[in-house]
Amino acid sequence: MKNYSFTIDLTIDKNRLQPLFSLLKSRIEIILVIFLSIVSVVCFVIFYQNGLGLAYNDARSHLDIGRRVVEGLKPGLAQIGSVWLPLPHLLMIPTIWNDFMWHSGLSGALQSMISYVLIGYFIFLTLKEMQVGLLGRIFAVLVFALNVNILYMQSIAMTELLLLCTILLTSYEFMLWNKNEKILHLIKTAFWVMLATLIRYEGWFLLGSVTLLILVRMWKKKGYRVTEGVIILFLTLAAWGIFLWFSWNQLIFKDALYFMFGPFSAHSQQQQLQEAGVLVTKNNFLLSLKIYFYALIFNSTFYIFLLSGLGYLWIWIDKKLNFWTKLSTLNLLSPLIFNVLALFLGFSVLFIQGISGNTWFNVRYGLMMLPSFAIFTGFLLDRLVKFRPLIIGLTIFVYFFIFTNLDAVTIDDARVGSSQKNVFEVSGYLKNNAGDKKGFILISAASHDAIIFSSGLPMKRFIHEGTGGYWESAITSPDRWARWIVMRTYDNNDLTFKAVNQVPRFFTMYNLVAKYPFADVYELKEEFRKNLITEPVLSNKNKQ
Amino acid sequence: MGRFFSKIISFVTLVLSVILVVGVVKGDKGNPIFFQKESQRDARVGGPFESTNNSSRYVLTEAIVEDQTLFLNEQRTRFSSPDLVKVGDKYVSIFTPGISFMAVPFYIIGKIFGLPQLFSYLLTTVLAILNLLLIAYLATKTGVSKYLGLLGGVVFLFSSNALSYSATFTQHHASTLFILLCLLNTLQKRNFLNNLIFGFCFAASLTVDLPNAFTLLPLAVYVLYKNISLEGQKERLKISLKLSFVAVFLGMLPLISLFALYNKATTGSSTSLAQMIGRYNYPEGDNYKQQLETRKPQDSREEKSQEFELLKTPFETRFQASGFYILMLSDERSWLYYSPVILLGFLGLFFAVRQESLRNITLLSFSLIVMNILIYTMWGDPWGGWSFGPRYLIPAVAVMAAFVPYLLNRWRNLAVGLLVLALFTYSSYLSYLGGLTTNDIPPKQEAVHLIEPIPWTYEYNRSFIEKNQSSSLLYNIFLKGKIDLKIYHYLLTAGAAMVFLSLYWQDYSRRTKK
Repeated sequence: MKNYSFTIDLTIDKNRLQPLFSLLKSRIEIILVIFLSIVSVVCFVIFYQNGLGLAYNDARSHLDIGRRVVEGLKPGLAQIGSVWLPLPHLLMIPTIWNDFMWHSGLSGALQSMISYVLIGYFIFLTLKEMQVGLLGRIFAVLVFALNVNILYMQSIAMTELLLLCTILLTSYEFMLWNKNEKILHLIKTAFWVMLATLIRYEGWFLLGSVTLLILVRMWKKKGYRVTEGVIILFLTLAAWGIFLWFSWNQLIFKDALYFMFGPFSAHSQQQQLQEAGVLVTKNNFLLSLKIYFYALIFNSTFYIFLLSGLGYLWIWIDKKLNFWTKLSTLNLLSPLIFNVLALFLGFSVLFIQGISGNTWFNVRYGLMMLPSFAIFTGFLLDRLVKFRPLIIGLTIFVYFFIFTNLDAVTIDDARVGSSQKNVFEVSGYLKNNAGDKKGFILISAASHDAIIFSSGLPMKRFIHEGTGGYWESAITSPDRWARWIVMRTYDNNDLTFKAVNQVPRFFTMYNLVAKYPFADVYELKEEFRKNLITEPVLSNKNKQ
Repeated sequence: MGRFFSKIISFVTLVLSVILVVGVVKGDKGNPIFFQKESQRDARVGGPFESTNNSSRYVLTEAIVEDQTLFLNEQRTRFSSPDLVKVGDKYVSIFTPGISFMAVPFYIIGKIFGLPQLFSYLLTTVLAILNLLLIAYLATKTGVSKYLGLLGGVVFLFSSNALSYSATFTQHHASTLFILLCLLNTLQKRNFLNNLIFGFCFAASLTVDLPNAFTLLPLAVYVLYKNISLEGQKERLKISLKLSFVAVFLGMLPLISLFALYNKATTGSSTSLAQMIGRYNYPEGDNYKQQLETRKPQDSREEKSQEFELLKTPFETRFQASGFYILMLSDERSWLYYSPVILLGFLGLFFAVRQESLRNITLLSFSLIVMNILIYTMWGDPWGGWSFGPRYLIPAVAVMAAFVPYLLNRWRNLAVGLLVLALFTYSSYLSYLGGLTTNDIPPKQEAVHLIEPIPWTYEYNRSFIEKNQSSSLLYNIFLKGKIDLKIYHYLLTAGAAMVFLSLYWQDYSRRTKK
């Protein structure tokens, strides 16, 4: 058969393309930042509009903590509290005063969104330092940036993205220091570690791992004396955040270890979980490893998990990278080691549906390795030249199905797992029945922050544990201060119930007006209302 | 003399291979053979109708020939339930119709001899032998001799679950055939005719099984890429698309049109497939989904927010980990457990990709394998229901098997040859367990919950061998009562090993002479 070779030809003038290619090449970083910023904003709008932006119970609590610093019966920095490390809430302060910023979650999401863009940018730069070509760098950024779990978490007021950003920046600066030993990079490393220690406790582990790596390198190359000096220099800045946190706890709660062993600490929560028999990973290393690996897989997909595993192995056999650069990549594994250890030691809890119970809880911890995974896959793509079309093709294939099925385990956790708390019934009751009436609402923020947030009422309508004199007065004489009381009746973990249960004739003074799965609402009977205080009379003299 | 002798050896090997495949053809004593008449139809374990993915396809062939209809009557509906769908008040097979239509001539010939079932099922046996030859051809493309090439085909057919599925009325061997044809076609120069053939084979694979579209995706992209050329001239950049690329679509057109007509006739819409409507459990009603739920991987019983899904597809990335475990590592379905010799194909690929001249064929083959594995790790039911080995991965096995000869060619060492022979014999032994008894092995989570729990591995097949219960027509007609089934099993395994050995020896002695 004759071979016909008709073709459609498109001829382009190279001179016209050249400037475009040059522009792309020289401005790729800016283009990347613009692209990531657009994606970030679009995703925030999508998740805000479909109501998922505030699905996490913790997101609402974070926003409330920030808000209490600027508004409420007793505003001030002391409202930062001790439950969570302070940096995310401090970063909210400039914007949280605005009602839209508070109730849309944007005040908290903003830092996640900026972190998202920065992480993408620094994945690109990290790989550049690892001598990865443009394709590998862009691929890695997209692997990270288009992960649907990341897209969701960057759109909400949670702390994960901010932590990831500081971890990555730490790793990046540390890698640079390993390359050229310029002291400025060490100081920058210390700075980012310091910030990480003020976001989540993973940061504390990071501090330990970076310190250890500095120790190994300096000891090997410069001996004891120089090592001592460098370590002191590094820790002076890097450990400053931890020092401040201890001091803060001592100053506010009169106990430097209050955050660790206080009634609202993770430790006490874990103790409750252990008593309930659901802290199954404690003292079981293999199960801890398995559960965290599943969290990683569900957050990244098994395909990316495998690729990144291969990529990390490749880093160690690669001939282009020197030993110290390879060693510095160990920092990228610190979230993995931390999380497995935390599960094993019982400091953390993570439920994978089907393995450790019948629901999800804290599965988002698996996000912590995603920037590392992106870096490892980008590296692998760069080195496996022959397999590039296959790797890229399969990644597009997998991501296509992630998007079509919206396979986002973090959203499932937020909506139907244990990380959600559907308090709309009780908060709706408050909004409809207390919104336009005078009087305070007595409630424990430790137990019901989500209700406070979802009610849409101003913070100054609530008397909670952080309101000092108001709280002290209201729990002893509720009928003088609280028209409404929200609490879990007969649950002594609810501080409000624990207190008012001691008040004589409490149940004769209040009517149970609503009963819901998460809390009951009591209202002061008409005949007891004549002495009720409805204005913030203590505010001036008690303000800090 | 030497050439004549080698031709004889090749011929004898081929004949022996055919006999060894025919040895697992399913059937039982009857008048003359059971299962041929409607009244003799039963779904006994080990029979040709043990699974409804056989019977649902078969009754469609029967309906086409006997009643010239695409719909199933009450008896056929009952027989193929729940692999059917209800459209209005009519019932149609849930499967794509490729196999059923391909079997029509076989059924008609069989009917002449009063053996419609046997002849219809022979379609798969023929396809399996064609696959053996195609693998041999593919293997020779990697530079191995025709003996080693045939050895690749033998590895595929006798040491994997391809053997037990060669005696069924399922899509696997037809899928494998079209996928291999596409792969071989892709390696050719892109011209009108080759593009036309590629399009035809691509469409044919869809009529057999829809996920083949995904398995063939890397090849389709490659074909497109080869039809585009980028030429840098002095001042200009020339991008050319060969118009012959249109031939791909022209090649697809006839079969896709027929498929659309079939859909129009059965579901009322040319774009609506029976599978989209969902299974129907005749006569109880539409309760199959609940049953299916119990079969999903453990970590797929997730609480999932479905209202935000853009498009519901059967491929869930969340199943990947458990799917990978089931297909690659578990004792329920994995190659590791059922067919370890196949894993040598990975080694073959690893070495082949390092050879510049073999890069294209190796990367394309590897893409096919990975894609095949990937899509079925994302499939809600990676087990393939009650089945023997990883049945969905039979196309990947075929491609893997084509690279086992490359490994043997690279390591020209008698010790390596014997080691591979040992692995092959062991794998064949396992494959014949399935071939001689049943393909209906439940997933573990179902097996343990049965009223009378049964093994979820080939131990279940072994129990039939122990009880002297075989699905083999040849055994049941001619050998039952004369020799023990165990002996028959050993004989067939030994036969397969002999075929392997003779091919390997031919190649080895040829090389030694050189």
